[in-house]
Formats: sequence, C-alpha cells, structure tokens
Amino acid sequence: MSTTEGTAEFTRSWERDAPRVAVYARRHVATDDVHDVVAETFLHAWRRWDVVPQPPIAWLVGTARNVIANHLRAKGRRSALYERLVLLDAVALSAADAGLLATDRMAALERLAALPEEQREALLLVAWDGLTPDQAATVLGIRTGTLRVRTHRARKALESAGSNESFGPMTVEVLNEGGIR
Amino acid sequence: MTTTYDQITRLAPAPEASEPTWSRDTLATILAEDPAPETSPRPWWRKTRRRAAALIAAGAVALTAGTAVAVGGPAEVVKDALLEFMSTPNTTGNGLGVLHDPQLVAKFRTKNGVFVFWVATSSKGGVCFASSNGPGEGTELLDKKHFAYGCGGELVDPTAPGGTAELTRVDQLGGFFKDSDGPLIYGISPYPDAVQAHVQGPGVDRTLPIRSDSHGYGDAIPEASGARAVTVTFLDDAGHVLGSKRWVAPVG
Repeated sequence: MSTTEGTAEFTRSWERDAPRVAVYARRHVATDDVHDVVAETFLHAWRRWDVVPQPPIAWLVGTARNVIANHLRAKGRRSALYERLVLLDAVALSAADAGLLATDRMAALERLAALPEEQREALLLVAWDGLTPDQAATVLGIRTGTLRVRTHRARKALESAGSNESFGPMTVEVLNEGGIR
Repeated sequence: MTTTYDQITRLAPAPEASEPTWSRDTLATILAEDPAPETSPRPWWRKTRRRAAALIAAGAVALTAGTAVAVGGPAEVVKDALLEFMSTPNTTGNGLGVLHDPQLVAKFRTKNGVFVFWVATSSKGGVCFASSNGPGEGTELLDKKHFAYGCGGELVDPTAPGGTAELTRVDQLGGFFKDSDGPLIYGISPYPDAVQAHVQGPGVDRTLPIRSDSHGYGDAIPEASGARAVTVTFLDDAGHVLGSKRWVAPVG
C-alpha cells in the first residue's frame, strides 16, 4: 500500500470509526478524557497502519481498551459501581429515545453496572458497540466461545431481578496471551 | 415480555460525529507523525520453540546485553539495559516516562540452565521486561544468546492467527511453554492479594508461591509433559480462590 493510499484509508477510518471508539471510551472514562483516548488510539493505529487488520474497528476498540486501562492505572484506581453507573447513564440513550420508562431505564443500567466487568464488557461490545462476537472476542483477547459464555452469563445475571447473588471468580481462557519466552 | 437485555440493547448509544474542529486538528496532528513503517516499533517476539529466538530483534527494538553486563547486581543490570533500550530512538521503549525498579518475576532451573524473568513498569504505564536463560545461576545475563529485553510492543494474539495484541499489563506476560527446556510455566498474578498459584492439568497438580513484590510465579513443571494446557488458580492467604487463568501451550 502506498503512503497516499494509506493516508486516505486512515482518514476514512478516522471519519468512520472515531465516533464509535468515542462511544466506547465514553462509558469508561470521564467526558474530558474521551478525546485523549480517541486520539491516542488512532495515533497507535497510524504508527502501525500497515499491519492494522481491515476493517480496523475491532483493533481500534481493543487498542482503546488498552489506552483506557493505562489511563485508569495511571490514576491508580478502578471505577466504582457508582462511577460506572454515572458513565453508563451519561452514554446510554435517553428513556424517551429508547422508548422506555425512566425508571425501567435506570433499573436496567443499575443491573448493567453491577455486572462483573468482564461480563459487562463482553455484552456491550456486541449490544452497544455493534461488534460481531468474533470481533468482540478479539478485543478482549479471548476465544469466541469464551465470549459467548460471558455474554450468556451476563444476560442470565441481568434477568435475575433483585438478585443479591455475588459473582464468583471467573475463569479466563487465555492462549498464552503473553506468548513470550 | 421485555427482558432487561432487550432494554439494554434499546439503550445502545448512537455514535455522534466528532466535533469538526477537534476532528480536523487531531487528524492533522496524527498524520504529521511519521508512520515510518521501516523503523517504527514492530512486533518483537513470536511464540517459538527456540528460546534464543523468543524475541525478534527488529532493528533496534530488541537489544543485546553487550553494554549492560558488569554493572552491579542483576536488578541494576536489567535496569541499565532497559534504560538504554528506552533511550534508543524508534523503539517501543520510547516515551514511557521514568522506569521503576525491575522486579524479579521468576527464577528457576530448567533442563538446560536457569530461566530468569524480570519485569519493570514505568511512570507512564509502560511495561518492560528482561529474560535470561543461561547455564549459570541466571543472574549473569551472560550474552545476547541468553538475554533479551524490551518494553511495550505487541504480544502474540491468541485469537487471531498471526495477529498481535498490545502489551499494556504485566499480567499479560508469561504462559505455559513446552519446548527444548521441558515444560515450564511463569507469569504474574492479576490478583494483588494472591499468595499461591495452584497449577493443575494432566500430570500436574502443584502449588507455586507467588512473590509478594512482583506477584510473579513460575517453575519448571516436567510432570506436565503430557499436558496441552494447564489452569492456574490464584489463592489468597486464607486459601480463598481469587480467580483462575488457563494457559495453553503454544504449538509450533
């Protein structure tokens, strides 16, 4: 691919995919930080554009996830339940736009916020970010089957209305994620 | 009846076009960066059965120990090497901020020598590592055949053949390996409270201590020669399960 073609393709991706990456970022970081996450994600992409798989959306969201992880690590904390709820509330459609009662909307978001992170991520990558299960699995660095298990568990937990169940430790299936010797 | 999941799907946020001025300016800033495909950081290791080839030396991305040897103890040697790496232009070590002191993840004897793995983070969230595989006690970092180090970069992506994943967390490092040194496992617990790593799989049922500083663990596990994969369960000091991770040995 020539430099000109690469630049044009990257520009198209920026216009097409940056809003999707921003949506992903908005549910993880404060509004003030969303632009930074998007910019850093695409800067990584530009530096590796010749090896970024096409279409790039799964790669971009996966990279945004890493950028956000660094961001949160730099702040030395993970988001608490209340903070997660605030972020989800800010990014989700309004009750009117979604055709829901405001109380139902908030109840759904509360249950969503209370899910274990890995289940919520798996669920929303598909339900909100519009990724295919394969793409979502790529983002999370897991197998598609593992992703399906997580989304299944998430849906099951969501329907356990008013449940006070605690979520036990999860098994993470990793095929030598590090791969380094 | 509407399920909660249905409600959540209806709440899916609609992507909004980026703010035009920010979008234009940011794109211009990014494109002003030289993508430099020939010199930019590249994936610098691959899964391999050959330890000496575990890291791919892509230009200046993976350095050898030449100037790093003979400077104090192993931690200092590692730190000097990583600092040198971080100051080398066009590597994955650039822009990581201040390097924190390296911590020993694991050190154990294998069939052919001593395997040592160090990790160091940086003030900007970078992840660096150094590994030594030599016939000595594992602290000498003898020569380039036995010592490799780097920062950041990309990991072999387990879900996409030939793909890579960005290294951003120390607990991404490690794995279960079966090669010329015999089966071995090492890694870093993602759970800070974990004190033991229980390794289970065909032929192996072993508990390894987790270091309190690096949260690292590792050992040769020759009894796992018939295992394709092992599961590591992380336990706290009360014996409670914190979580687990399944490592599958790379093939090829």
